[in-house]
Amino acid sequence: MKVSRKDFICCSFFIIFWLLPIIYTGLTYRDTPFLPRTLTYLQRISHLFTRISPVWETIYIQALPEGEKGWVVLPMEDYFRLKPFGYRTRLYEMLLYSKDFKDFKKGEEAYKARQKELAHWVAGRYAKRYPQRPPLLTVRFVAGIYTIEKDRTFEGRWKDVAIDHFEPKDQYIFSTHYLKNEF
Amino acid sequence: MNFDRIKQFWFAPCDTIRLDTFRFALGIFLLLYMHERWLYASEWLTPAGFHPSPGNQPFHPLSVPLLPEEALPFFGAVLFGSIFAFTIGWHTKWVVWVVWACVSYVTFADQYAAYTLNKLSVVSLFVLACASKGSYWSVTDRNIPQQSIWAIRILQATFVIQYFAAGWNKAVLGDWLDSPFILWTHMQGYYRTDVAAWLLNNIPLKGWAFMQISALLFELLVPVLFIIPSARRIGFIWGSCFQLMIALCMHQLIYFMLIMWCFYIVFIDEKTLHRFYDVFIRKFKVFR
Repeated sequence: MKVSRKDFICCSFFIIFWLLPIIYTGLTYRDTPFLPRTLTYLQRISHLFTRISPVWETIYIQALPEGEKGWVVLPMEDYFRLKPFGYRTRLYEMLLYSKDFKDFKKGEEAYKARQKELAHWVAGRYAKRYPQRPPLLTVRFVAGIYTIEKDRTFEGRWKDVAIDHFEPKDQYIFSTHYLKNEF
Repeated sequence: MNFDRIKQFWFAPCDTIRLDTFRFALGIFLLLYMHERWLYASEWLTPAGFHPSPGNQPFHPLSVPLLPEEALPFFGAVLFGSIFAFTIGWHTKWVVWVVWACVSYVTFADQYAAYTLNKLSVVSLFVLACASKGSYWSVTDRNIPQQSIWAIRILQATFVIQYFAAGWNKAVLGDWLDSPFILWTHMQGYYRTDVAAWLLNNIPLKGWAFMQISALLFELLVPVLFIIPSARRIGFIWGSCFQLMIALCMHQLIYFMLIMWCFYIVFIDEKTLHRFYDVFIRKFKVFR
């Protein structure tokens, strides 16, 4: 049986750069060494829902406008509307799942820098959308923590609830950004 | 080592209907999946949505420039026009590269909206782009009755490895063997649909433990269920139930179900696909 050179090269390419790496990455949760990040990113296809989820979060963007004394919850749909997976926005992915495992220190620094950048973006968007309102002085990102309980009854699909639903001990502050001091 | 058998396994000539049907199904999946994202195109692909600067994403796989908002209608036309042309087999030899480029672009433009489905789509499109094209499910007649089976083998292997590795991750690297309530906890969060809520209220914990074991067993047994031809029917039924449950209970994971069903096609025998194709053509008279 004669095999064309094109078929041989293509098949070999996919075996070497796709099948073998996804076996390695799939079984070890490590990137295949010496391959570029673009390829190793594509090769991560098997690491979903692997661990217990004892808590679930609802994320809020809170702000302190100039002249106000209390925190105001900004409407999420003004900033994030696309819900790519489940009922959560892209903001969830940024705050909960995007800490990079490759280099903890560098990943942690970048994670904090992204939140600072996000806070400034939120303030800028707020100013554009509501030019008549006082500017935002402080922005923070907060999660309301919902703990799994055995005898809970569910009223339909997941819905975001007001932050007042959570006691202070069930709220987690990712970061707080004092915008004037951060310029 | 029997090189002839290896050569036969990877490169034997085969009917093009399996890969063509996979192409057709993948095209329909991409139309639906991209449409879902496109409803929020500004946030997804332009600076109107928040996208961290490249300096703050040191491990981002590939930084690509975002689209200006004025370019969205043009990009949308290219994206959906090329996927439609790809689906109906119009000039597939060139169109598939356009689809691959568009899907790759949206995958890397916004990492926060890209998941396993995107990665499988990018790689599947690349496989299709490299393979020869047949004429089934196509408005173009290429007069290529057979092709090398390597593309089918790559897709079959991808399916088997992806599922088995998913089960391996859960059992060995995760904690699915430490607690029978993992699945029960996953159903309660921000994926929870009305169906999941009803099941959570009405199925006891033991029932969830049974479903967890069943899901894990399916993933770990996929190599047996799909490599052994006589076991495939069980694999199709068990897998379809597994995927359907996920789609009903977890919001938007219907797209995961759809793309995995595309991969099921490459395990269906050619005779069955021909029967289905002939019935479809007689009824709808769309393709040749």
